[in-house]
Amino acid sequence: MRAANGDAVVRVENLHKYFGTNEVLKGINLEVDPGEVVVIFGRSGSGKSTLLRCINFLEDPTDGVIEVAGIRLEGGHRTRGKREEIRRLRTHAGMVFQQFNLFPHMTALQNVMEGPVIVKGFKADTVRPMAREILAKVGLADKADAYPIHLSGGQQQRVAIARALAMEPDVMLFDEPTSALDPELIGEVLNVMRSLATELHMTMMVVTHEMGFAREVASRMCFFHEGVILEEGTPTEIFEHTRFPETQKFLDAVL
Amino acid sequence: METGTQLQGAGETRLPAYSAEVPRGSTFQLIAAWLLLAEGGIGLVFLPIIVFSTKTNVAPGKISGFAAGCVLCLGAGVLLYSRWSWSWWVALGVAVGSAAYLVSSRGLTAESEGYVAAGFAAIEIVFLVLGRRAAGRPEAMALASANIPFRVKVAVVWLAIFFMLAVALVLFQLDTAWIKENALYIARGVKFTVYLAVFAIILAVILALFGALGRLSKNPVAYGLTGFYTSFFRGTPLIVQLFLIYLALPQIGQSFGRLSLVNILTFTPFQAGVIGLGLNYGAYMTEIFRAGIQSVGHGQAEAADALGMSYAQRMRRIVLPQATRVIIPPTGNEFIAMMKDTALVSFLGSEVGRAELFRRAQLAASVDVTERLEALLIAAGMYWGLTAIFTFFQRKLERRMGRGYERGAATQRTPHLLQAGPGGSGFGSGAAETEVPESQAQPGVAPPEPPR
Repeated sequence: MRAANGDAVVRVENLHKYFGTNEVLKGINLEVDPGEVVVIFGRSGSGKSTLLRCINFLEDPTDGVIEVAGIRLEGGHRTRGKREEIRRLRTHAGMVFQQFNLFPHMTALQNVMEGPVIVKGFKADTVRPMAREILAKVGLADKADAYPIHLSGGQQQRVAIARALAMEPDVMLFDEPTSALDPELIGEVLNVMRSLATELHMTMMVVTHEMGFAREVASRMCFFHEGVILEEGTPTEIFEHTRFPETQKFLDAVL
Repeated sequence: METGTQLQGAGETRLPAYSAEVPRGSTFQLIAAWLLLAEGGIGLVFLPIIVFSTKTNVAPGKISGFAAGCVLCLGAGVLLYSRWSWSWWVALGVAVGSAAYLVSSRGLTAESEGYVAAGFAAIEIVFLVLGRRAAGRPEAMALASANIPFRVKVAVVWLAIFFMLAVALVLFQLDTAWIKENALYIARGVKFTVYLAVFAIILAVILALFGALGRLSKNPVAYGLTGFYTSFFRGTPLIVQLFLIYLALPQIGQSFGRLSLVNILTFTPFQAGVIGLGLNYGAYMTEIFRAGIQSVGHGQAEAADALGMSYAQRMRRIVLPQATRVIIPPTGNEFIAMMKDTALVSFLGSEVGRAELFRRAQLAASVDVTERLEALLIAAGMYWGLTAIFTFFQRKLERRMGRGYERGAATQRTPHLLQAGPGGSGFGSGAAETEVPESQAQPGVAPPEPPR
């Protein structure tokens, strides 16, 4: 499964993405090693969400190469064979959305079980205990039989994290996971994400504006500006020794 | 009492003081007064018109005399809504006077009609006595009126209409013996009407599902094929399609000169009906299904994709279950509409064993040519009953579909997935409530909101 060169979980090479004539990503190169937490930040429209969505092919990269868990795919048009490869790649990359996107016609437990049962073809009876365990891990053991509509935003997002975790991904992609939440609910979601990083040593790519979380948890931070990674470094480097005025301006605005 | 309330000044204190003016038992009184008006209008104006339009032996002078009485009654009824308490005495006088006039031989030639009309006058007198205290106090009546549930008022209107219809039918002198004899024969057609509709709706749902998936597809073949299908079957009359399937298809088979093909393309009227109705309604329901699928938020498909689901898994597990909630109510409406369109199948000719409702009504009437009215009334009544029953079940089903989605008291915010349903919830529940034609409502079952 692993690619011959190196053992990075995610590898992005010269990634370009156009929406029509608008170039959103202008040649991104990025490698994420196992256990790393990469925080991606930057102004809205700078391409950070698009990068995440290109990594699991929710958007088709216009050009470049994406590699997740050794599955290496080129950008450009989809072919029948590539579609299968994309599906296989996606099972290795768990995605958490800004708007949760839980399945409203299923209980929390059913949401978590859906992937392993339907996509991986496991028996429901074998998945159920594992799903309950994961729900307990995100602190929602008692909400297993609740429908999403009866859960708060923070609880819904934690179920969404559990749903992604249940696929046992090699990397978790977080696309602004707390942006749609009321301020008092943000903490519970960040706590779950923090324990993912510290306890499970999960490889994570997080698009977020929560700079406190980034400072504490991130092993690396990438500042996106107009479709390129303008500045990259450890939290200390980014916060204490900011190199670019654009980064400083953005940090001043959000801190 | 007017000055009393005005002196109290502030708006908040005025309302309780005002409602204290509602006379005891006024709810009943108001129904009485209100009925008087409705009945005065419906009964005393329309009924005589019906009666006299069917009779040729009534002298013109008597018609005008009777019509004048009707107008008087109506006027007296309206007057009850004025502030003059003496209006009650006027109304009573008019009611008693007209009753006397009608019962006397001068009123009408046929005795039975005189008694029917006099019966109305008698009912009016009873209501007048009951509503005695409400006369001359329109504001008290208005207040009391607010206390009568809307559905009670609607139920009263329905009852009044049915009463009128019953009286009218008696006056038409329906052949009850013939009805008793033939009702069962016609009623047996209900079975085949329902069969037709059920088989056809199953076909239509399958076609609509594939039609909608095709219309949403990026594949030009699928999109073009379904586009042609919906365009043709929505662009031509259903009756033409039925004849095409029943009469034209065998001809196509013949033109190929193969007997086997002719046999395959030759259908019984029942089969042709199922195919025609299914194809036609499937084309219309394609739009319903398409809208239902589109009402499921884009995020749902993305979440399914992100888990690694295939197109089929995503549709089957995530999108269609959610779309069903939106699709079911309008599909129920289509089914009910289809049940009525099954009558068109009767034009495909006789297949005596499997004749549906309308065909049987026509057959029965063609044997006894003078009994057309009775036969058609039986058929109409049965169609109506069928639609009423299925409307009832459709509402129940609709309520069931909402389970797990409705916001409980404990929930704080509507997440994006449920807001995705402006298409969703609005299309589903809203349309179903308002689109049910008046004729499909049942007596006593009022619409949930007063249409004001």
